[in-house]
Amino acid sequence: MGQKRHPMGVLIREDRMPHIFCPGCGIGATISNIAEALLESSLDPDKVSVVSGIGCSGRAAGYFKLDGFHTTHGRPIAFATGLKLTNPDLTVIVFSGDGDLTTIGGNHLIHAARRNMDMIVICINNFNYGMTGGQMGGTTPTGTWTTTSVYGNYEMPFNLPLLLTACGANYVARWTSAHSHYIKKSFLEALEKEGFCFIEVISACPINWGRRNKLRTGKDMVKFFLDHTEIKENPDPAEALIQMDTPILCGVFANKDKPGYLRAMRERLSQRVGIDVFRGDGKVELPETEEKLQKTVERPKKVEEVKIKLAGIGGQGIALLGLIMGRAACIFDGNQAVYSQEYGAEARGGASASSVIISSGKIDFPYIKNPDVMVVMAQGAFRKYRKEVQPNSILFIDKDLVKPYDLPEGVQVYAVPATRLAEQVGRKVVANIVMLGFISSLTDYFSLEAVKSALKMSVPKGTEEFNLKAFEAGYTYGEKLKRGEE
Amino acid sequence: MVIRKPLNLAKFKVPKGRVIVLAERCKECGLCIEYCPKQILEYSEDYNEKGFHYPVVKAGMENECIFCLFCQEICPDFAIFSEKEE
Repeated sequence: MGQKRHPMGVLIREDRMPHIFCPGCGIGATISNIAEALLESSLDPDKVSVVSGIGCSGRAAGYFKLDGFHTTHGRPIAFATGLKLTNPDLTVIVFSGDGDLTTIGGNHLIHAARRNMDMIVICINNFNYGMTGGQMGGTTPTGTWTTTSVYGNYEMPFNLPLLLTACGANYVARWTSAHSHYIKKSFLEALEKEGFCFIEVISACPINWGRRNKLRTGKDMVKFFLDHTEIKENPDPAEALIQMDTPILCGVFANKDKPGYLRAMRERLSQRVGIDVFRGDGKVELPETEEKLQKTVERPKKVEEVKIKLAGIGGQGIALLGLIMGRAACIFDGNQAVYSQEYGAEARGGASASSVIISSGKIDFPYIKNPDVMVVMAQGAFRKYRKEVQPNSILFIDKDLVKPYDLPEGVQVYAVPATRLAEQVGRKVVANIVMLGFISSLTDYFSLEAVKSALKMSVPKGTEEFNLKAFEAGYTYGEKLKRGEE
Repeated sequence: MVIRKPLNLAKFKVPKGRVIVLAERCKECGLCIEYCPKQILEYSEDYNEKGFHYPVVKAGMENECIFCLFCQEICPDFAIFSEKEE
């Protein structure tokens, strides 16, 4: 007889079998049930992704033959949130343990439930920290023994269905690993729902928890689960606390139809901003009603990777300047841009900097060590960031405020009296916009229309015209400088 | 105890299955043996590579599997499954 293939082989990495789980462990059975449900649901496997954290059940992501994400401890929900937001078409399943999800990542759990983030969370609850040797955790029932509660646990465990229902999850269910059919059914129900779906699977852990609680084998544990559970229709989550002397309440604790995070966000944003397409590829459909705002151009303006470092003192608008540049490049020119800020604890007066990387291709690393272009708008900032000025780079400075010294060889210095021009326009605060106009006249990292559109998008409502005037002032100064008039 | 038989019992055909055990994956948790409704499984005499007794179909009960898939569902190790026989 030739080797037959297991029917779950379509969704399970069979080359990794036998898996690491102990004999009788409930995780394997749960993986099997989930895989079966996925097969039944006829979802495209390319559109399903499993995220798991650290712990025994954290290995699950590696055993599914799906796109998986094995994340840092306690953070699978945070990773999954990012995954879902950038790729809304994906069905995101978080498969992790109680220690990972509820104790170390407890805050992520409750806030994802509060937001009703669209994902399915399978929480394998085995009552202890299994992989590290059976320590007491946040879900250990009162009166049970673990390696760190040798006199019996005297703490209260989490009542997870109550917690999640109170936080506002759309779907909350609890089963044990012996309830194969129910897990499958619950999972299929959750696949149909939007919003946060939480399925707690109380899992057999005969080696670490059961061994210390007179349930030495997988058989004993499954028997315990079948005898000591009570399945109810519409159970009350307040009664779901796990106690060893009363049956464990199982069932579907919450089944609501509140809008999920993505739907709520879309509805709100399409009303307020006019953005209604979220594709996760960095392109944004902007409303067509405002004529001047241009959509993403079809052919991106080609730019070699250029690293721009902007420095000044807090309050000069250094951060906004970088933001506008980045927006001009990525939203309106169709290039890639990365923008980051650094600043001290001071709200005003401390040296602050931001950095922008603009490129036609992908950007690998967001931090700048050797900027190609440096923009300095205050002497204090020049002192602080002087050593970062590279030979043969370009330096833009405010003519009145910065007196450069000890520059490396070949640095081209372009000076503009930005603050003075801004004062002439009306207010000193637009010095950064004057600098922006100056930079865009002398360089070609972004097109003029793009930078104007980005400017309009980024400044406070009602000040667009004023800011454009400041921009023109800087731009004209730059043009004059090019012609040699200044 | 009176056992009632449906009148149309003869119309129903009990499905037939054949149990297949992937012995090298088994970890001897015994769940399939415990929960087989027809009790057709038992521990093997042999060991697999890791030193566990894997389940085998009892001698003479090869045709007793009713394709309920309990063993497949309960097995944590993807080591047992059943194939439908026509």
